[in-house]
Amino acid sequence: MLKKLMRYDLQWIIGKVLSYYSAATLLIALLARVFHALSSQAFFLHLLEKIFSGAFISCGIAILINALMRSLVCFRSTLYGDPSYLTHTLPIKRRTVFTAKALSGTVSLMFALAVSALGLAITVLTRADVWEKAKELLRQRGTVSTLLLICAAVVLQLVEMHFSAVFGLVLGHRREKGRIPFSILYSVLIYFAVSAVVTGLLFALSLLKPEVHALLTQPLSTQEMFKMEEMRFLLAVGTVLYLLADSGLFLAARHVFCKGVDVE
Amino acid sequence: MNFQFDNERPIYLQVVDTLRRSIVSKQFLPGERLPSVRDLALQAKVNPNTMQKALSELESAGLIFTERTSGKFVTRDEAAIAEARRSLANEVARRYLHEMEGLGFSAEAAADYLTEEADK
Amino acid sequence: MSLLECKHLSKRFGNTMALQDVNLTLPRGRIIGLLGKNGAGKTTLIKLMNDLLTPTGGTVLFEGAPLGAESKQAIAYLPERTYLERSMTVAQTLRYFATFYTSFDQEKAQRLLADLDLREDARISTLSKGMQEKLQLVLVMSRKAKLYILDEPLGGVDPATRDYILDTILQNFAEDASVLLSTHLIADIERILDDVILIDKGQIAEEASADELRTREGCAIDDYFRRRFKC
Repeated sequence: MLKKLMRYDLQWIIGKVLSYYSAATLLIALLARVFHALSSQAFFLHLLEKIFSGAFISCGIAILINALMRSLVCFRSTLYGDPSYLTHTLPIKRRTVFTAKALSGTVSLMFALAVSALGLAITVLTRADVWEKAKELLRQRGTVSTLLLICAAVVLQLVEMHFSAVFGLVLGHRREKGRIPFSILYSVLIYFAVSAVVTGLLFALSLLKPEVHALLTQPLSTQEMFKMEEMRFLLAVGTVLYLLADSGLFLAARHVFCKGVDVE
Repeated sequence: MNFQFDNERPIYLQVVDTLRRSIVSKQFLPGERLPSVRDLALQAKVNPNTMQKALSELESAGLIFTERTSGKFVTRDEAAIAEARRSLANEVARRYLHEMEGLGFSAEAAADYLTEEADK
Repeated sequence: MSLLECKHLSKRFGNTMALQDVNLTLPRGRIIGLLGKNGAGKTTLIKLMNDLLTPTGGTVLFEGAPLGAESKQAIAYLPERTYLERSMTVAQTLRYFATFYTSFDQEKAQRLLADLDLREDARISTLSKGMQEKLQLVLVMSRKAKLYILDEPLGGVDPATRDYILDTILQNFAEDASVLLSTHLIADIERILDDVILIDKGQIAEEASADELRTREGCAIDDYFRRRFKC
């Protein structure tokens, strides 16, 4: 049941819009790369490279925002709008319905992220000079794990944004008759509250390890950051904390949702 | 069968009436098998429960009988059908006389009037 | 065991009590009319039966158990509004129903749609309101349910379609299933009702069998209703 429901939601969220958007983004990334290769030959080609690079950055960010927005619209419409008359009368447990919606959004976000990452790889990693530098970095101990942790952090941050918005929507429906300004307010407050708590905990934990504390309180260059074990430690602990926070958000939102709905 | 009902009287009684007339007027022959309750209800555009109740009434009145495996049948008892015809005719007659009385005719005058009309 | 039971059901919206201490039992195998003026609480009651609203007090029990996935499999609901996903086609909507409802008779639905001249590749958003309503009726009637709840199925619909709807309801009748029809157009449907429930100002005013009520009051249910709830 869960998968079946998710399939329909994903079809709606990603559907034609995001598919075309992804194709366009990747195409722009490719063109940026191509123009980079040709840029030494003429000024206007150099200009085109800059334009397409810029366009790619916009698209990469836009596709993420789009995925987030579409998944929230899908959530709100299928759970609180007219189509909710169908959703809530399906022979599925309320818990499962919520899980399906939340996961569909997450999968869509991951899809958008993957597209952006792929585009980035096309524009940057295929360049010989960048690849050389990358190889050098990769040779150093601990770079791979640091990179993985950074990826995890990005993913979990996006998920935190998504789940904060979902929780805000659920609370907004239950307490404020689903009025959008209140849902947005709840979402923003929840997001900052959770982020503050996690950051606070990281800071508190850092007091146990003076080197880590130093990392947080003193300026450093990017190169050095990659080298330090303390950085990895911070990222690792942060990842775990955000994982817990995101799970907490999901469970809290689901709990409130399962208390019941009042559909207009 | 003409299934016109008004909402003012119990529907099932009106169904009983209509079916009784159908039997009396030989639209359903003695011994003939009736359509299923469901089909009758659909024809009459009434609730199958209502049709069931009407058929039970007719069964109590002896105009139809149920054979458990084969369905409902019109009675073969010609006397019962004749009796039903008589009582329906009585109703018509009483109604006629009552209405004529309302128009100012006496019972005798009403009877004469009827004979005149019949001769035409 | 009764099909559906409402025990001390109440629902408040802000400062208004839409429903107050409603106690109700729906038996099996009956066509029941839920009659009341606009705003009397019919739709609120129906939404509570379908888990679209959370009760302020009391409970709704279906076959003795609280509402859940099982009860929803056995209840077919036709709301007043169009709730279908507008971007889907008719065929996709049929598949959606077949996917989630185990007792959905897709062939029957396709047959009924063919009768109505509804093309399966038509997108929901392109259908007229009347066609959308007919489609929703077909979808609900193609489910083999124990309780069919139809909220104002005849509202805003032409007389021919009204006849079609009533015929469909009668054709669909099954002895172990019940139909709850909510309407304020009483004259059109009263002849097919077994029982009536009259609701006024959020409370049950009367529960009776249709024919008994006619006998008792000596008039049509429509007339009785007008008399009783005169403005």
